[in-house]
Amino acid sequence: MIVEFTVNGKTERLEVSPTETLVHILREKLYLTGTKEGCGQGDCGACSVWFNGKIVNSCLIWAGKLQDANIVTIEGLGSLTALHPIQECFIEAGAIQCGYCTPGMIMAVYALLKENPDPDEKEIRTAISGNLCRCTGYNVIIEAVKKAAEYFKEHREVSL
Amino acid sequence: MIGENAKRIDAFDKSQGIAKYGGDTVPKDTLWLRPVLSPVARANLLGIDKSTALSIPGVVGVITGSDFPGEHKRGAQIKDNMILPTERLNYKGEMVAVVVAESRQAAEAGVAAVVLDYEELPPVLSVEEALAKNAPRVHPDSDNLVDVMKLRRGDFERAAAEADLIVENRYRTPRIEHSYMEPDACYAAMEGDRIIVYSEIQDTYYLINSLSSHLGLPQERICVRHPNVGGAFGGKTDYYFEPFVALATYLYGRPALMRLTRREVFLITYKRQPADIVYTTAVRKDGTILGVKANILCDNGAYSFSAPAICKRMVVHGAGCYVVDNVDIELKLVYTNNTPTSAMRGYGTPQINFALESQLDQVAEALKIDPLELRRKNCLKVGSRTITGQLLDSSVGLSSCLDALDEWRKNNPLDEAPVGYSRGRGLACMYFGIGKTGRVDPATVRLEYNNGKLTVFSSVTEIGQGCCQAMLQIAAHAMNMPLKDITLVWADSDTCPDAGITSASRITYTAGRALEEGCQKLKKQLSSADFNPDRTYMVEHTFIPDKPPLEKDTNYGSPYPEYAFAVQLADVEVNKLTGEVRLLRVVAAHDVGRAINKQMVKGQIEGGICMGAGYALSENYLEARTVSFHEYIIPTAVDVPEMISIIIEDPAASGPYGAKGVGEPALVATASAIVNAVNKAVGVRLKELPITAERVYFAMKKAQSGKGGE
Ligand code: FES
Ligand code: FES
Repeated sequence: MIVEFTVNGKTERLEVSPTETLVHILREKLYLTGTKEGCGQGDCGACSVWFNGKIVNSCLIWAGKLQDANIVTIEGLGSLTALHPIQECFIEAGAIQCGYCTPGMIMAVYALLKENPDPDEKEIRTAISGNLCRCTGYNVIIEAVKKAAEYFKEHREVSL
Repeated sequence: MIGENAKRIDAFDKSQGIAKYGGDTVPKDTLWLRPVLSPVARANLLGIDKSTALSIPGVVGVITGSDFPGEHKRGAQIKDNMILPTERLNYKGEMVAVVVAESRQAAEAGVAAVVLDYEELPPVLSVEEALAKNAPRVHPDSDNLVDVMKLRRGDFERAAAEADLIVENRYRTPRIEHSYMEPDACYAAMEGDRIIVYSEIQDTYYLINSLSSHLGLPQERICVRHPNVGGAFGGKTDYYFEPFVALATYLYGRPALMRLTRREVFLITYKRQPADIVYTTAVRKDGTILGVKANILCDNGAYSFSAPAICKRMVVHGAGCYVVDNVDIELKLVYTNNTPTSAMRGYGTPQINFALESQLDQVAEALKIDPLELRRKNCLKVGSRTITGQLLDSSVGLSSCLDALDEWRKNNPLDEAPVGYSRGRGLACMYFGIGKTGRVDPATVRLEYNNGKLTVFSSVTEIGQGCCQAMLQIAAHAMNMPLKDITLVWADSDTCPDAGITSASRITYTAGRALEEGCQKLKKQLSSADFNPDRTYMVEHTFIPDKPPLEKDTNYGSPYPEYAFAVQLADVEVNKLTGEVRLLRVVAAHDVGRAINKQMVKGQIEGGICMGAGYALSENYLEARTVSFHEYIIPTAVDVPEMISIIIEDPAASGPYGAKGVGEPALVATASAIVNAVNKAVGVRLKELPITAERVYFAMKKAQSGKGGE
């Protein structure tokens, strides 16, 4: 089947099989390998992308759902010359070790801050509780999110 | 530069999703490899029928063990393993064949169509079964005892006779999956007549040697490059499918990719070995440890990988970081038809630490001595000897760690628990010898300096821990150059000399020291009278840590050049009704020698605590049953406690600027501290990890009915 959808502002028209999942389409057909696959079954959050205004595990989205979808992946945040403030805060806080959870984690944080610009610690923890990280122990990630929230409060002119 | 929290050089790419990992390179003509797994734990393999699979459109080939032109046997220490089995299947999930296809879908269809003909045999699934009389042999040509290791010193029996108190208990620890977030992946492609293998292995040159022998090709025909690695924790110290990927590329002349699914990572890859430990501690009334005895059984699983070396480390660390004159430790490593066990963060020490630190708390309680004071009384200091007889002449920061925690706990008493809950505070100590146990493990670096720019070449492996950043900071400090003028090349065996394995918390210590010394040599050249600014200056330097091998039968000697020390304190809250344990906080004091980058050291400590919390509370790999993250439970952001790191710097004479390792030490004491805290909270003594709510609940129930916690 042929589907048409938008990824990071760009329209894509692709031949896909209905049993393919979004994570594979992104990685193997569009070469957007920033989205990671840690489990393929909705347990780890490494594949998190922004999908029609919500954060989803892209390994659980079948190709059949893609028609007219609007998707943002990690590649859609920041640019090669200027990082997105959330990315900046992750680096600053030392929240990146192996970095495999990072794209998904950052997308989850992006979704959180869009919905709730002033989250308390518990809300942050809950928001990323579907994103596993084996390296950092999470607390530095929480710090990074607090910093990012702070940044957006101080820079209201910058939209997420 | 040393001690500074410079931003990690790899963080930019990783934050943007442009950093390439093992499974991220998939050119259009890539061949996909998928494994066929053994459905049973033990069988005679009679045949592999590939014909149906080969008739599926898109299936290019099926690789089996007999397809390898070179050596079929493998094994880092004992060659008891086959590259792919041809005669026997020895654990459920073992790879038997590999389908090569044009697409993932075709490869998967091929896997389903490969028919294994086998005769199932009764498996040996526990150490007890394996050691029973007339037990079936896992490997027909050897009995089920892989190895027996002993360490005896003084006279334990006499010490026990003189002791005022003897505490004896049996402890058990589970099998643990590393749970690195990136499922194992490997990619290979031809460049001319050379095979370029993009592998995530933690030991580049070991892989080249192995590939060369399995493929029957000279080493020059193989190059290993590293992508970014999505975590390893010891799980990538050995190879699994690199030979298949390399062979497929070589046979078909096309790029090839193999990427495990999460389920396959659980089924196929080696685990931390479960241990069954009977531990006896003999003490005097005043708390002096007179002697310890330990009988340890370790499940090796079906094949040996590095389990013998791990067990040796367990034995050598068998009395903990204390002065003990009378020691009697014996460890048996046993073959079973379970998943193989090998290296995982801690390398044998978390298991024994759990036993011996649990013992000490029981001693403290019986003698009514404060647990911290009991440890202070017995702890290793400068001038002490370890149980292998090694004299510790410097950098023994254990007392400083204890002092720091003592101070902290005085200033931060534990708050009252809410109604229905009980709180407790526990602690545990640990030490960890840096580098391979009594084995020569040199590291080499090459430096090239030209016109204000320095390039460092060395085959260290960045597995997420930040060793590349540490190397850069060491070079910047030694050369007094800004970071931006220094490049580190680590990921290419063609240009990088051998740094040895990135494990045993040795890489910053060993390769870092080689780098520091190499820089000193280079500086001499640059300051010589005939210095020519247009010339490229080159230095190659090797550092070999001083550690003679252990004596063969006694295990006496000085197996490590340096030791890292730590004390961790845990505060827990236990639900008195359900037994559920909530970890409130962990305070960790670590003697790291010298922190090259404090933020990264803290990162290692916090990551280690998190992993230790999983070891204590939830993680338990059940053979071929807990094969996903909803069955195998690792901590999430809502589970982790407050973490406070206290970095103690007692410089190591032989380390780069005094640094020792921290990667593994970070996790070793955590579970022990948590279990000791739970005991303080609700009075029960849990002796088997993980201490799940059920286990705590039943222990409390048993204690209430008057039979004591067990
Ligand atoms: S890969 Fe999608 S949740 Fe793990
Ligand atoms: S940084 Fe490695 S999994 Fe999060």
